[in-house]
Amino acid sequence: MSDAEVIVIGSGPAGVSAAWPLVEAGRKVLMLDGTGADDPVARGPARVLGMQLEGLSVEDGLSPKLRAPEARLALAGFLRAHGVEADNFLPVGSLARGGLSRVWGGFAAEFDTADLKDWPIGQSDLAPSYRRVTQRIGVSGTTEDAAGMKLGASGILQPPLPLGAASQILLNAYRRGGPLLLGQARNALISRPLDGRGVCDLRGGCLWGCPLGAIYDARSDLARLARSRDFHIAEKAEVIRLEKQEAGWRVYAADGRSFSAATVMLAAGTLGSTRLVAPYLPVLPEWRLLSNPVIAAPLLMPRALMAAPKASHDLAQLAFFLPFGAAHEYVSGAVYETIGLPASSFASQLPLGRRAGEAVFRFLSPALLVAVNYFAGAFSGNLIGFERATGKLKIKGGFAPGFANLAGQVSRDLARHWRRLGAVPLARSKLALPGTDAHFAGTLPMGGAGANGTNILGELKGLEGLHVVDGAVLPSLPSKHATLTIMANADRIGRALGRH
Amino acid sequence: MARLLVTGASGYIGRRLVEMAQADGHQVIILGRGSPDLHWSLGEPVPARAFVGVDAVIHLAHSWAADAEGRAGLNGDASEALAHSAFAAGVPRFVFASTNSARPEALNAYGREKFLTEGRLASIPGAAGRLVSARIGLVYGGVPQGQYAMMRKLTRLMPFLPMIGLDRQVQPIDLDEVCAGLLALATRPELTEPVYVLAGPPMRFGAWLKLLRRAQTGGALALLPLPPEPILALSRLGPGTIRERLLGLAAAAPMESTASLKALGIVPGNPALRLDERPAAERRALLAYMGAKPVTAAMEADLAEGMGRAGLGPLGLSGTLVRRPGLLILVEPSANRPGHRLGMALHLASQVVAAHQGERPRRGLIAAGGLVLLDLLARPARLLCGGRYR
Repeated sequence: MSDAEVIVIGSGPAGVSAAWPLVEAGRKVLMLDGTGADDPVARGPARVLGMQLEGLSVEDGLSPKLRAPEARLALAGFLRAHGVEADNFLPVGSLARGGLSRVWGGFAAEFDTADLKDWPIGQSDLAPSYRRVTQRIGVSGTTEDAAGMKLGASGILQPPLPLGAASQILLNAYRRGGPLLLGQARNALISRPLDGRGVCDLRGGCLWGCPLGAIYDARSDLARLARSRDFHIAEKAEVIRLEKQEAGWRVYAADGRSFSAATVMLAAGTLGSTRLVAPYLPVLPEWRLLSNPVIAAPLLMPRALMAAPKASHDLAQLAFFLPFGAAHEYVSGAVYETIGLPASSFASQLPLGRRAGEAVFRFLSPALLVAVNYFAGAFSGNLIGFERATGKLKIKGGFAPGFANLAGQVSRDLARHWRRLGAVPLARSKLALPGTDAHFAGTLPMGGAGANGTNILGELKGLEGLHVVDGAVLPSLPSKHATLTIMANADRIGRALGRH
Repeated sequence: MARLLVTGASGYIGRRLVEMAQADGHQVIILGRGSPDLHWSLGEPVPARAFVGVDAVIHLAHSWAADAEGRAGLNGDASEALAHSAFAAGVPRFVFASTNSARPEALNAYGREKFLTEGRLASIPGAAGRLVSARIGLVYGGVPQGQYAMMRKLTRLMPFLPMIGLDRQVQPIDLDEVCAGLLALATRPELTEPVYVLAGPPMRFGAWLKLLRRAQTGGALALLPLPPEPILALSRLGPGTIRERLLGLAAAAPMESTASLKALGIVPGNPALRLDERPAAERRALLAYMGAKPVTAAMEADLAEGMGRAGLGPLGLSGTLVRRPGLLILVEPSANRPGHRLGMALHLASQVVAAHQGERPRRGLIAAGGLVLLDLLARPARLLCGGRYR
């Protein structure tokens, strides 16, 4: 006897996006969640330091986002459960409810035809799903400015939120016409009420989680899905093994429970899903794992030092695109304000005493921006392997040959553009440790010719009924943030299955 | 879990005892003037219904004012009446809080009275095997109250202290250990000796005072021994309690306690470590330097936890730095230097302050520039003394 028509493994952005169209089509869906419901955003000092002080630490290596207690909670347990061995790579994954949407910065970009050139599906296949997902999660931004069209126009947007002072000055200085495209960022942050979530009131402190629920995370979808009689969730079902049966699949959890269904949607996150599928692959020595190489560059806007401060949020403020090299290559990224960042992380970079260093930051931060540049996944050179004996994933991080030089050139080119707009790049930035971006994809590519290739519904050859619906099936990773596309693709596969 | 009837629950020992008993899951009924359970004051009869279902009475109440009010013998009479009613009601255990100065020849009335009362209680019919007296030593720790509070205050404020009885032996014991001992006596029927001594290993009273000062301030204490006779003669002019305490000191003598502590499973802690307030003072200095205004107990607790997790023990900051946190600028390392103990402690302190106070407001050019200038000026000093807290 099966437990549901469809089992969805994982409660993150891909899992809920796959579940929605199935539930709407009247299918009985059982979602397996690695943990359980957790507490709402903490208040007071615990919001920053964590309920168990897990946010209090002398480490500075991680991005401030990954250091925040909310992120630590979301990420805790994944490595323990999944046994990932990483070399020169930061493996990020989540077993927590809501999955990696909890550490998503909310940047919502659509892939265009050029971005999808290696895909077995086209922009028109994804467009209806972009529209549905954008509507469902709430995305604020504009299509009117120079970056707008590059970010896509399939979805209906909520009005953009006000920019911080330094970002506004930078954007005001920008004129269309050159190769650089600069405009407002597009975020899964709501400016109009949606499903009981509060509208962003520019209170700041976004790094520590939004008590209003203005920033999307998959938990708000779960609350809505749970109202349907066709949707059930099994808590603390940390999946460790899949077993193909005569009709369908049996899924085993770490605590000994098992669940069966004709169809399984695998949305455990790229690393988690890869590990669950790996035992079924013919022995591959090592295969590729895409990620977005990332460089963060601090920019000072001297004019903003004199300007009156403006309340804003701490998510991406501006989006930019700069083409380089051959026809379709470009670097893209997001510009962030730094007012919401902890002064202590900044001071740790300076050769000054901590008190003086923090004072410098508090003087500069209204004028200090950080431009985070993402390069396409083709420039990553990570290899992922699976050790059958131990069931461990092994990841070796790296970059494509010659990429370090190219990244340097592009960064210098970008710095020239920033200077023209009145911003002063403060320091020569280095490439971050591979994996820091947490944009993992491409281990089980749709349309891939190899043994790890999947069809356009995320199925591996010979493993019918098991649909991988997360980042693992993305055939390529453009320079843009992939989360919205992962959600749209899961929605597309869910819709296709719902019709059968 | 036991049902315990406690008198003296608002006193120094009583408060902590009730907390610990409740934390252990015992049901506590308080008998006293301010009691929400049973209103009673020393000397009044206790209604028999108070003892229904009670497994043990812990009798801590003592009136220091009885003599002054012309009610000599109140403590003894009241204790006897209470024990009498308890035994008559079938209560299987009565724990009487006595003192390690309980001797027939004690100089202070307190010691003599406690000794006499022990004897009176023991002669009540049915007392054998049910009555235990806990002879308690010099109690320290917890929320300072009474004699302990006075000694702390004296040693904190005075670097130089004239005092009597400095060579006498006192037996300090931690408040929590006393309470654990009393609870054991109340709840473990196999403890059937009539007397248990709840007192730590003996130490000279002078050494105890020096320890109290060092723990609080890190500084030394100079003691001037005074001859007891003229002081005691003078003390007749003051309030009775002071004279009582002085008399207690002048005649303090140690009482063997190892067998009792062993039977109760208590290993007395080292008061020098237990009472050391310098690590906390040091954390408050770090927080103040990183801008905490005011430094709160919650911040200090968070920093203690954070430093513990980062493997940072107390840094041993000098007394001057602890008193004047601003001087930390002279020894603080550059913030980008990894692995420096003081540097890491300040990093944690900064995060704690930011979390509790919110990120601090924007700095103006002059304020930020001034701090940077100070920081640069402090460099030579850091080169000279920065290594101390590495």
